[in-house]
Amino acid sequence: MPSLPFSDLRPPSSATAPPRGPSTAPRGTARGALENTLPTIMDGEAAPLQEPVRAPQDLAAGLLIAAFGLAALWLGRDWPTGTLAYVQSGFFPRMIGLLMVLAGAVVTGRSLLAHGAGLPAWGWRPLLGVTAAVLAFAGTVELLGLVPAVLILVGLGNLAGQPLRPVPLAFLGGTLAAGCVALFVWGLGLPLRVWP
Amino acid sequence: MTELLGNLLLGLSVSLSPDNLLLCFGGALIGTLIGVLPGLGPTATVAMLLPLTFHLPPVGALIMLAGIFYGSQYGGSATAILVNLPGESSSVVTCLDGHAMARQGRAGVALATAALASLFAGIVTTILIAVAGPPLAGVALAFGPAEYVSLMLLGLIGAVTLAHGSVVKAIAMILLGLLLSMVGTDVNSGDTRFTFGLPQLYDGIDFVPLAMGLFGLAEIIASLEQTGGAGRTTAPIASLWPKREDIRQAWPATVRGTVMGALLGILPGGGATLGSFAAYSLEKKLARRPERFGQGAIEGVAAPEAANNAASQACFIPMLSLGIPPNAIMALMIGAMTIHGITPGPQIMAKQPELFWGMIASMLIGNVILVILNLPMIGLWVRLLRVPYGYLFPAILVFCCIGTYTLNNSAFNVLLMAMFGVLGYVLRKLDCEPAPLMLGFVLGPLLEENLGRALLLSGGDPTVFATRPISGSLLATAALLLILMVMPSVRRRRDEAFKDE
Repeated sequence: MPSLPFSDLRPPSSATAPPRGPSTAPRGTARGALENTLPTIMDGEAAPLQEPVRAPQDLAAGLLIAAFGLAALWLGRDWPTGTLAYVQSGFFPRMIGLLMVLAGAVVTGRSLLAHGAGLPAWGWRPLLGVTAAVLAFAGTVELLGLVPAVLILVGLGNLAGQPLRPVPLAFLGGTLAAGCVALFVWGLGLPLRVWP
Repeated sequence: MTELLGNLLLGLSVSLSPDNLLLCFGGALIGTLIGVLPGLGPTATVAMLLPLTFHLPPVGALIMLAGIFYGSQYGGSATAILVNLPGESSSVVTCLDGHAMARQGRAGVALATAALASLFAGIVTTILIAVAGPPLAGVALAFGPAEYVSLMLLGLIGAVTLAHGSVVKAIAMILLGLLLSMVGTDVNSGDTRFTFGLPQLYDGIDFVPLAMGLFGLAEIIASLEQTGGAGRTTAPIASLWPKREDIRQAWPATVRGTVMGALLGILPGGGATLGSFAAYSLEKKLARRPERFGQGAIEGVAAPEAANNAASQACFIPMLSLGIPPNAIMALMIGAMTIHGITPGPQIMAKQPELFWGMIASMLIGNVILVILNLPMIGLWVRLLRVPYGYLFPAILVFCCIGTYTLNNSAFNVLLMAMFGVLGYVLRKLDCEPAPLMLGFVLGPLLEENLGRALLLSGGDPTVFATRPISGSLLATAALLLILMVMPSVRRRRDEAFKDE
């Protein structure tokens, strides 16, 4: 797995089946919800009502923004910046990185001073389900071909929501796989591998 | 002037033969049908369908291409409105209010508005090109690197209005977009940046996996979460057609969007990309109740759609006179023209008048045919929203994955899309909206290139941005906009809009 700047945000063990988390939360708990019971991946805070931090959501956002800025500065530490008259490849990344650290600091600072929204609950099940399904497609489309990859994608993706019963699921997977082969391979003539 | 209108008539006479009309109709139909699939944006659609036109005679090929182009653009807008998936940068803006309208049961109204606003903009801009095209090409020459930097800064600051919450967070998202745009090989030095040694990243990150992840996957995850897996239900469809009240609200926005798009489209390079973003920002600034934007304001669909179409039409002026395509689709179109013996350059209007004007006229015809074709199909598209989400979202996932994969036949892009999906979900949870990020991402390379060039030309003197008149006034406007946005009174108004559902 390649490490991108945001790899630390990827859910752990995304290839396994999603756990049955509290993702079946009632409607409208997405933003600023106070019935938050889950620890989050950002800084492990829970129960925002008792927190000394006044705006945990902004704190997390500020720290994340600053982290991106710092990562950019660190990754670009050896790149030549050149002079103003002859700007080189390290100039722009450093400038943007610095501005991001600054923006992150402002958001973080404000979160400590002003009241704001708490950390929302995380929908682990759809997050892991959808991500796992897409990663599985990425892993299988070249190895096994389009039809198995689509079937795996539909099967895993199905777990992200309220799972369909086996017969409708098979029908959906079959239709999508057949439709994709007909459309992309026969219709548009794209060079895709169909079977293993 | 009469000569130019005569030229337009010449073009129309070339392109109005039954054969050519049929080709245009076929192109628009196929373009719409492929372009409407989530995951296949206009660029991908045009690229896939381009070979269909190779064996046709030049004029027929161009006309079919125009049909495909408009069809795919409209199909892309339809996907943006129906399932919140932008296939290209201009649809990012259409998503904001178009999808909100769809959730209120007004998808038909949004689709009709998009089609009609585009038609209006297309016709007006074509006439504008015919009347004032050649002299307008000179405007582009007044824009040096410094002017472009200031214009893009203005556009980026304007992009803050795309978001609802905090100004600083929106700016941070723009910066993150700029950062992501730097991934890959630096064009000036050939140094690779932020590639982590992965050869797949040497060409940079593609727009499609980023947009599909940040908008598509994150939207699916969030909507599954908020409804306990059942999927968000849309309100019952109230009406398919815009009511008089809708038209009254939409038409001034359409006119302003057209003007904005045409003006920006004339500028080579980044102009056309800015069109829809700028039109949206302008509407939100002018609106008496800006908090309606993002909640399904019809102006938020009409203005950017008009601006986008006007800009993609107007960008033919710099494209043909200077040979600079403003975006990937236009680059593809130039490629197709070259295949048929049309070389972009200043002589084209004089040397190959029937081809040039035939092409301009075919754009006009493509627009009209698209509307004729698609108004009856709106009912069909809207019915898509009635498919139970349990069936719809796996289908969207499949198309997103295949669309992203077939871009370069690269599973790595699908992997990137999954990561951006997670990033998009995290950002959404932290109340950071991805629309400004997309504009930063799209403008990043242009901004960096022009910044370097402007400084090089001025010998390292950063005051050049303020002292050149056009650049200075653009910069002053940007500064004014920023001050207005952080001013407390304005802040309070923005915060009123800070409600999701």
